[in-house]
Amino acid sequence: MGGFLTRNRLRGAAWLLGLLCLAGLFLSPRAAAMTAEEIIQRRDSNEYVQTVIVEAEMVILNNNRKLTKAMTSYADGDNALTIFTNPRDRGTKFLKRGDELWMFFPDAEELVKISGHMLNQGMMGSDFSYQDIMESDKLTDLYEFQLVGEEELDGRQCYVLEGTAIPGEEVSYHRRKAWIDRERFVGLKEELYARSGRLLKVMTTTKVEQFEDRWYPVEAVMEDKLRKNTRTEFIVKSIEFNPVIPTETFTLENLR
Amino acid sequence: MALLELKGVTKIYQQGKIEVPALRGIDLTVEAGEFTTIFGPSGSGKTTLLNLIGCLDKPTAGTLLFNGRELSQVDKKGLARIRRENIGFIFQSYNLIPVLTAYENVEFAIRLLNKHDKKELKDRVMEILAAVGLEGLENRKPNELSGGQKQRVAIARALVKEPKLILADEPTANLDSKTSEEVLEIMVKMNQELGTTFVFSTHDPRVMEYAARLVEIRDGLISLDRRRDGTGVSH
Amino acid sequence: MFLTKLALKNLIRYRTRTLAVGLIIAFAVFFYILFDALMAGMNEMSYEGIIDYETGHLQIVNSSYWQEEKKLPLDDLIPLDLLRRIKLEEVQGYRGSSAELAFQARLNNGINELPVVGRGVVPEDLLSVFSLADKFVEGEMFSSGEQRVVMGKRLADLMDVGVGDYVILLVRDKNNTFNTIEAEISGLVHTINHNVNNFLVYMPLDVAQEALAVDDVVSKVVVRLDHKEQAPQAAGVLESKLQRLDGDLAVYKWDDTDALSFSSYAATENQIILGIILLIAAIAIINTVILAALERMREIGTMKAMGLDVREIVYLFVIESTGIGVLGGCIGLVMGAVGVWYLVRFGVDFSAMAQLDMTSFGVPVLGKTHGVWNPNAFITVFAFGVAVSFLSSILPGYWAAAKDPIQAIQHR
Repeated sequence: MGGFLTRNRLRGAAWLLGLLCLAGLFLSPRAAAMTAEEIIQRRDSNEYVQTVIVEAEMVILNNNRKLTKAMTSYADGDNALTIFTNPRDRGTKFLKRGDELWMFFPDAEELVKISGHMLNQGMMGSDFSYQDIMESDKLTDLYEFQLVGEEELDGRQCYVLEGTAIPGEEVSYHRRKAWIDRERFVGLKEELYARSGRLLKVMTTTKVEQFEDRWYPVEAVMEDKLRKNTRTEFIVKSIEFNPVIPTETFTLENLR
Repeated sequence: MALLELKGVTKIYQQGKIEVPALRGIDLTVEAGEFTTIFGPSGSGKTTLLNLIGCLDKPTAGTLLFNGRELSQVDKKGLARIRRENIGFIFQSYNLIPVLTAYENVEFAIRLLNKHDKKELKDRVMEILAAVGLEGLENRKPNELSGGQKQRVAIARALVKEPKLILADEPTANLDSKTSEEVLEIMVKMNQELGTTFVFSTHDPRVMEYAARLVEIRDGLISLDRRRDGTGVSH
Repeated sequence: MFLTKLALKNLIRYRTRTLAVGLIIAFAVFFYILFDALMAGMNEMSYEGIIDYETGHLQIVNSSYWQEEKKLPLDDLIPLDLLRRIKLEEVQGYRGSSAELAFQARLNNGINELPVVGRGVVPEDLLSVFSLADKFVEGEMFSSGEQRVVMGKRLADLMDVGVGDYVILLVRDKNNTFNTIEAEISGLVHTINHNVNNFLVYMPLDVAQEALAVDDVVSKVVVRLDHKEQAPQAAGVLESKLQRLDGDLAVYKWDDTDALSFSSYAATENQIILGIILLIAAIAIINTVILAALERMREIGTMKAMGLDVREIVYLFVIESTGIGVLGGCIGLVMGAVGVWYLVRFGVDFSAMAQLDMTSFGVPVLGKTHGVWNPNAFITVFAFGVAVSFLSSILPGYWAAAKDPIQAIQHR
């Protein structure tokens, strides 16, 4: 056979095409713009884990008082069990099952269901309310996000996104502003606003770590902006991704 | 039938762990209409004897017949009935009810019988009061009467129900000699006019003078039983 | 009867003792009556405390809302235009009505937060139904449309704020989204109602509705009548009118709420006091009978000698004792009547006596407590007093009558 398309020529063309594709792969993150939704989803895929066991510390600072609490949490999808391990609160347990939140007091041997306005209270006196912890629906389902720009935060380049609640959806915060690390797709700061426009809470990630192929926030600070001089620090001591957790872990009997 | 018949009557009192024999075997018969005096030193048992005769108590042993009826079979309520209907008491300290007048004290005795209607009642009481010499004083209370007058009220009270037997425990002990005599005279009069049986206990010799029969008790036993007319009674 | 006459004569004879024991019983009766009148007065005040500040005489609500009221939901609310179709004024005894939107909130002064209950109201209506107009200790009422609130002085002190200061109320609207209401404190109140003083924050209805993202709806309408006794009838009439418009609407009376625990508490106290009083009377009587028996030992013996049986002697003592009971009871009733008249007319000021504010204990007493006439109490305590006098003399009567007549007669 003769002509333009010789076998050698074809092989060369295939190589060239392949190279171009590879180049394209390397190039596209810089060249193509990501949508707000994609950025959020990337962050969520980093931070959202189906199953995890976490050992953490919570430091509550209120004026001049400092309270340190240690806990171990087991989470599997919609269920989560947190056991406090510091001496003062040892034995106190929280169980989240779907929409329900239960608390066990070891001293009184009492099992209490937390509902209604109790959910708005800070957990164990911290600035994280029970409601904050309960919310597990995907943010992209509840908010309409817009990329409003880029900023440098603590030496890291971040996407800045604003999310407004989709009308009719039940969300706690009408508006959220998030700073997401451009490279690592981990949230570095989040501002939570009331419908009136008032800033209610600010969560700042102070340390991130890489676990295999994901970046995960291991230290964060939550501030209640309506109250002066209060903040809560959350520090992850150890984390196990995708362990096997027996289902009996998330039963009321296990709380006692 | 004798009014009273006592055979081998014994009465023993329990004082703590000690047994005190007050009467140690009394045999005594009293006929209707007799005027009998029981005398003896204090502690001899005369009050006990009177109590038994008066159906206020029951003998520890022996038999006591009142009007032919054996008393050991009778219960407290029955004894009360016998007393109410048949026996009048006269006490040393009069024992009148202080809140009632002379009239009312006497009336008390027959009111209990529920036998008479109001008018009959009034007549009877006034009659008896007159008989003991107390007309005009019927509305006085005991604290407004002299000793003698009070005893007269007591007599009237005892008599008003026309009892078969009148028991008097040292009736003159609290009275002066003159009054004692007056009271005794009335009692003799009643005995003679109405035929009521009188049994006294006393250690007043004057009383003994009036008595038609004398019975002496010593240490729980009868030591003497003599009638005025000289006839003795064997024991 | 003859014995009865004797018994009464005995009472007169032992005048001093009769009077002494009679007076003990009289005082016991007197105290019971006074206590009862005061308790009833406090009851009335607690009713007033609830009617005048929380429930009015009637409440118009959606019956589903009523079941869940504790959670203060923003569902099952009543549209105001529905209510406007009813002429409330036509209800007999109607004095005024106040529509309110109730919601949970957290009161925030920038440093601390407290959970409170918010009430969005129309100021003129609120003042016409509830007794708040003269309870302002500082400041004044707001007007519709203003971002101003009124709360209890207690609550304000707790939050360290005063009239003119700004506070933030953190709420969740109909979609559970957080919202903040920034408002100036326009006035502070102090009442006999614990809730108003410590947990309620009033604001204009329109401001509340806007913050909670609801339409022109309210949680309930509170109605005031001329007297609380008109409530049952008015409730019936109103409910039938409302149900023609919306089958879920219901009318609840002021006493349909749980807020009436104080009155049941008082009823138990009354019984305990009665028990103590009767115990005193019984002891006095038993004492008297025994004393009388010892004094009249000879008499008893004589009467037995005369043939009175035990039952008749017991009868004497029982009649005497009952007589004392009746006498004491009557004196006590008279004293009680005078005392209650004074309490009703002039009242007694506990706060002044104890030098403290009773409302801090949750007891709805402010200023004077007035007594309330309660003929039942008079009858009850008198009947019980006489019954106890009667009953408690029976046993000692038997004791007295059982004495051996011989020993009795010789008793010196």
